[in-house]
Amino acid sequence: MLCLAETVRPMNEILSEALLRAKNAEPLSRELLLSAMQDARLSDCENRDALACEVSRILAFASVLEDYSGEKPQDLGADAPADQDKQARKEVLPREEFLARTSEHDGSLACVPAVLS
Amino acid sequence: MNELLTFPLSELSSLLASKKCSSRELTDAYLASISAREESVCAYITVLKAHARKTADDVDELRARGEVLPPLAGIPYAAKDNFCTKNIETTCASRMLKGFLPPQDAFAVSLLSHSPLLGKTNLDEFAMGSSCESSASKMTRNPLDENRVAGGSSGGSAGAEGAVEAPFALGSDTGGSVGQPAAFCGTVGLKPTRGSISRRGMIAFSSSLDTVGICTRTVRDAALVFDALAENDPSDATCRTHPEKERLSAFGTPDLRRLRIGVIDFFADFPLSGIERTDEEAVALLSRAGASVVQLHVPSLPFALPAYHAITSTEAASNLARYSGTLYGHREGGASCFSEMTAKSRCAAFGKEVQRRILTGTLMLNRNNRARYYEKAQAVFRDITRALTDAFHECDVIITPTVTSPPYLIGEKADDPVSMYMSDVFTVPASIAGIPALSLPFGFDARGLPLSVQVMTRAWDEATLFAVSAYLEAVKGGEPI
Repeated sequence: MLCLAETVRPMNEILSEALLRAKNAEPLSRELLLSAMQDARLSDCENRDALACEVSRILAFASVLEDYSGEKPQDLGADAPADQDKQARKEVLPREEFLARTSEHDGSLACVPAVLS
Repeated sequence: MNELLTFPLSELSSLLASKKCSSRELTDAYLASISAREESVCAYITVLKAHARKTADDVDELRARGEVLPPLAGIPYAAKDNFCTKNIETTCASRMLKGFLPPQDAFAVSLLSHSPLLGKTNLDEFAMGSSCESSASKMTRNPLDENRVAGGSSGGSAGAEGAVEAPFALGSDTGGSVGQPAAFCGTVGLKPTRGSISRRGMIAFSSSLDTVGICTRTVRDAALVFDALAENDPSDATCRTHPEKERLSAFGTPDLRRLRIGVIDFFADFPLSGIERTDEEAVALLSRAGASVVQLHVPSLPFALPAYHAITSTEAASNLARYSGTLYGHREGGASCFSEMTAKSRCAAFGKEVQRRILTGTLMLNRNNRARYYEKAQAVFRDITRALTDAFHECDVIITPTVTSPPYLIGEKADDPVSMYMSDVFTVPASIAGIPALSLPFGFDARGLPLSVQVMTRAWDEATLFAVSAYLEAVKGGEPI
């Protein structure tokens, strides 16, 4: 027999956090809103208070992306760690270090400067 | 009801080919159905009676002359109003494009030149929305319960299908805009592999995600329409020839003993609101027939929705920058300079949801926010695409619910955009990964509201998608759970 799932399953914690941030978001400051309206060529819009509230909620919802630390290919599968914190954080090499490492290579990465540019 | 309205596309095709019915008769039957239901459902922005009848007469004449015609020739259809149609008003349900007469047909529309176009269907303005409430033209109502929304953004196309106002309809998908309204209206909604159908002439919302979609009443009908549309278009660099073209609608019974069903914990654990877990029922049906079940974990999936809204908002802000009242779009009078004219025009002609998304995208792209939102969202997109591609090394199909709730009441979520965005949680990942997904009806709940289930497969494997979906459709048979 099928069941109504909401009574037994909690919301995923990342999305719960996103919804909580959206719910508690402070409206955008008037200065920031006017600047964005200018950039978007929407400076004539009148519903500014509503826009300030709604846009700030969407931004707050999306702000959980800051917590995203990347996913390793081997994470897939039933035994993969469920906790984001347990995953190795992907490090972005500084450009100088990356180029230094490629200079030690045998030449098969000759295309790298083109990619970087 | 006219018996012609009850036939699936394959049968209509046979009836037309054997001249047991004419395209004109069929078109008139559907136009009569539109007249009967349209006032309450409001699926169409424009109904094209004379245009449809002329095409029908032309096709009947070609058939009488013995011309060889494609399988869908003479079968009428509807197209979402974001598909360009030559010299026929195409508005995207926006005041911005009121009166716009495209100089050419969208590629998908041109492939259906022998099919009478019944009309242009309603959508959320510029396809931004999940309820069809943000259309500047009208609000489409759910044909199964007119107090409820039809879903969106292809709510007009799904509504026209659900109300038997078209044998099939074109929609578009960016993050579930075909599957979700199809689920709400009790119809089939197909989002094919990205790149399998040309997007040329489909007005852009979010270019990295927009895909042509198909609404029908059966899975085999969806396959037939897909066969007709999956043509390579050299003018669309994102389009390529489907490797299994020509035989997709001829699928048979799948070998379920070799089928591996993927169940992803994020989808399986996601709480639903007032709706049964149809995914569990579908997996059980397939398992009983011999399929095996593989449990999968994709850590990046919870970030799919936030990333989707970051990417689509930024791309929308960019794509809609062209509507300035100069070359494109509505021009508001009374301005003293160019910048005032563009601001006045955009504010007067864009609706609330579109303004909201453009502003959100603009803010996300500014110097201080770009790394925080856009670049993180791109990383999520890459990881989800790779993880779902890898998942199909372990399984052949992934089964999920299509929606998190039954169709909600009109106005229930209109002032809460974030809550409305949550309804796309099951459909967004397939759009991000570019893999095909099909939503099919899966019975009704105790209130008579439609239930649905979503099937996903690896990219370009529409053959498995159709075969497994058709099996579920046949076994479930529309019976209440």
